[in-house]
Amino acid sequence: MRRFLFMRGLQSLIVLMVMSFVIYGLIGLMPGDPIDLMISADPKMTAADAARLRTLYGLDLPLYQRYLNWLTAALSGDLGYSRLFGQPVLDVLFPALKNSLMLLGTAFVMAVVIAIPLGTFAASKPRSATDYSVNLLAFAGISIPSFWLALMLIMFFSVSLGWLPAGGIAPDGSGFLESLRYIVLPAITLTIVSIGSYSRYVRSSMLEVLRQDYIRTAKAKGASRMRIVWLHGLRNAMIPVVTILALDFGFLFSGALVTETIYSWPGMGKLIFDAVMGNDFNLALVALLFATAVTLTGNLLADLCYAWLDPRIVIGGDEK
Amino acid sequence: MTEANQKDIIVSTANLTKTFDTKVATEKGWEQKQVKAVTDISLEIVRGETLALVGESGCGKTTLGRILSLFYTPTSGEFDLNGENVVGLKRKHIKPLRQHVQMIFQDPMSSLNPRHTVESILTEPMKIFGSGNAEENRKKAGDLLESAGLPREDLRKYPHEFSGGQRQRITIARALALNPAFIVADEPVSALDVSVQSQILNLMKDLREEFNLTYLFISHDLAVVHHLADRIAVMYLGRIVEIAPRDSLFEHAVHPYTRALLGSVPTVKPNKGKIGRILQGDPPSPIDPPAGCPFNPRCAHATDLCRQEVPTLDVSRMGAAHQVACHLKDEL
Amino acid sequence: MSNPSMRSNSPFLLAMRRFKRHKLAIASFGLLLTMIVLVIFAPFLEQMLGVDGNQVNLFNQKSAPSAEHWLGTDELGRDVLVRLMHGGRISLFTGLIAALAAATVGTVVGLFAGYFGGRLDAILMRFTDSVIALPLLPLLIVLAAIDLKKIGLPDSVAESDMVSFYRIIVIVALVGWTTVARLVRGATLSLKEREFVMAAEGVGASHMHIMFKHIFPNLISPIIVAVTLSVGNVILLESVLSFLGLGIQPPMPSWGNMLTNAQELIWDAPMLAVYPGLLIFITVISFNFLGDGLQDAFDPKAEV
Repeated sequence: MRRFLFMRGLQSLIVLMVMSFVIYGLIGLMPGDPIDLMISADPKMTAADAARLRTLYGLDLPLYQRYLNWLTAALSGDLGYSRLFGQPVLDVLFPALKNSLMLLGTAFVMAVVIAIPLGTFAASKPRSATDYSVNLLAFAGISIPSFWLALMLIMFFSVSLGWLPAGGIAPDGSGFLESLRYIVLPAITLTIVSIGSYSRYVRSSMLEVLRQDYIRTAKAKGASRMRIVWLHGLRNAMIPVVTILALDFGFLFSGALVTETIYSWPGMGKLIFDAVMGNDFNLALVALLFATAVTLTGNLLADLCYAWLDPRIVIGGDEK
Repeated sequence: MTEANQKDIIVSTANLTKTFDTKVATEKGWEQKQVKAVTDISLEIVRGETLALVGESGCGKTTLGRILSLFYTPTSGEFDLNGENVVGLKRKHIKPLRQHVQMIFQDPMSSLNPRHTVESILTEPMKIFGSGNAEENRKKAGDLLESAGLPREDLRKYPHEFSGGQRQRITIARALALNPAFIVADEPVSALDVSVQSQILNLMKDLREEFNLTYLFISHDLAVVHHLADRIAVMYLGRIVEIAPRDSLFEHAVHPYTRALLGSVPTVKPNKGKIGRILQGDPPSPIDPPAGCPFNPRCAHATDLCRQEVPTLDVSRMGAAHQVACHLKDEL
Repeated sequence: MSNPSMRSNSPFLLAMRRFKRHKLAIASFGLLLTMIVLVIFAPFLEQMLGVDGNQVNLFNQKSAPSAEHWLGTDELGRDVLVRLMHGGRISLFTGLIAALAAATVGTVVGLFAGYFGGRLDAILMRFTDSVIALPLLPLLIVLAAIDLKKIGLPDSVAESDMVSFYRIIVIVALVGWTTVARLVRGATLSLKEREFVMAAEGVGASHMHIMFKHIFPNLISPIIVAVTLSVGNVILLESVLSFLGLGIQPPMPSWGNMLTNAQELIWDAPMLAVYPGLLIFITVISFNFLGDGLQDAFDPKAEV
């Protein structure tokens, strides 16, 4: 078990390192050159000045050298300065992270709370009208473009009804109810999309469990069908469900990008987008790496859940 | 060595052994174990003869068949095909040898690619070995099909359009495509209806005459074997325990295992020739074979010698052609 | 000699019969077919109506539906219906091509990994898992934001109209191949054990021959299912990127980029924000139903 943890952790770390190099290279390929930007801001700069600045910033070095310089600085805590915000990158990152977690956490909890009963219900009555309608709703959830859903919600609740703000976050010092007004629409947007996939997972893993255990246990215990489904089935089906949820949490992170942008919710997603579009190299790089790290962690946690709950996999055997 | 020159030997092996590595789940996790599928096989197959290989499932007969048809490489020992050494050859050197040995498979449902037409299946070996153009190959494919008892028009059909017995005919036709001298038939009729079995066996007999074929006929069904075999080798836990001409084996079996097998074969009713469960004890595991004679845990006559030393295959009192691997072969 | 009573039905016919039981899938198939036909005929419709989808008319912005413009005009006075149809062409076409491109990459990876097994399999699968573990949208955004001139593309290519189209296809193929790879690997592993593969080896077939002439033809059904299921996702990805301004670039219409300015439009011309997204939704859900139906048809054991 420990060995497995170590290997997977190592693998994730390697991926992160490789991705840091890849992202570093990709960011460098974005339009705009820091020196060019400086030149356009200061027309009195000569070519010689530009060349000197290039050397000063190490921009004339080959890619891997620049990367290593960045890496050494980063590992010692210096993650650079954000051009867009005029602050150190970390100072920009953490508030955004906090906002994202608030939004994602809310959406995640809401989705789970709705999807588990929904999926279980559908699984308990296979091929019934309930099952089909839940399936339909689930398909709708995974097929809807999140940005369009957001627009529709804004249209309805902000424009037509005027109940909720069309975007932004509650100003500092607002009360709980006021903060709620701002978080409702983005959270609902994310929730609807997530419910789609979660309820399908819950349904199929419940069906698996029910198929295996239902016949045996029902005949043995003579318990009522509902009891079997909800107590027994739920407990066992939670295993794969928990795993998948751990996986999805990482995905939520990147999926929220569009939602945050539309609602102008100042979270990590919007930060990444603004940084990339605004050619803020340092910020974009660190934010992207952070997103990668979170997603990788989510995956690792999911693998750990698998391993913890299914001993055969831990022992490290092959599929055969 | 001189006797070998008088007989035309197609297949000759000496101390052929094949072990597989496998992982077994135990409390400590996964452990590497070895499966001794085939141990110390030395035999010769003469051109034109049909040697049957019988035994329970897990005795290694399929593995031996696959070694002799060039699908598995032996772990140790010697193997000569048509006088040429086969052991240690690389894949590209084995390819030309495939013209000498072909296999007929057990399951007619999965031995033909469902997406290929019969013509494509039959001409594939010809194309791979670059013999003939499309015209000639098609004609030859048609000839093969007719030899196997199917009309030439069936060339353009797909496998799912045929019954099990017919598919087996196609498999046999394919086996003949490269004009091999030696054919390994791995349970060729086991998956077929009883009524169809005799048709296929008769076909194999006819083809044997027509093309002067040598068969290694693998089966667990002694009655089927009786129909076709010249010699019979009985395998147990990866070793040959008895090998003899057909009549000598059926009438004068020496090895206790062979006798047990035959005890379930009433010669009058050939349909009941399946290997039965009249033996005591558990079926053996090739991962942890017992010490000494592999059969000793289930043998009613086992002595201390049997439990310690592996008996070698040696002539019995029935004659030089009838060999047995048993310490007590002269007493039984 | 072939007795008709002993024949079994071709696997394809059996699958079709199972497919017909899926009413939603059939409906989706019909809908998609209609949609595809309609968008193919977009240019003809344009001519018929005597309308030019690209013609800007600043005196007729955001007008309501009329006899001349069946769905009204957009913020630049262009006919909405025609733009939607053109956008549909682009979105559908891009979605299909990108899905196929991703499937090609995935098939090669999965086939080699499944067939050869051992170390190659382990390496390829670790790589696949790593790609799966990356945050999709942020990466796509970075990839889409790259300045193509910096990677050596000549200026004429980098600034052409078609480049946004090719770019989307390339980046989707770069990240979208993993599902197909896993699926193909699984199917290859089981196909490898079938006797006809051993039979091919027995007649001297090389590894390549076996992989592409024997295993691959039997992979086509699962690949079709995987591609159909992934087209929906690809269309969603393309529309998100276009919406953000990183996908298909205007004036080339795509359902996604028709929504780019929608946030301002919802105040006075809400329907302009509804149509493109609705069409995306309908298309994606149809592909998903269709894929689901196909999956049930080809492999009833897979879906519970």
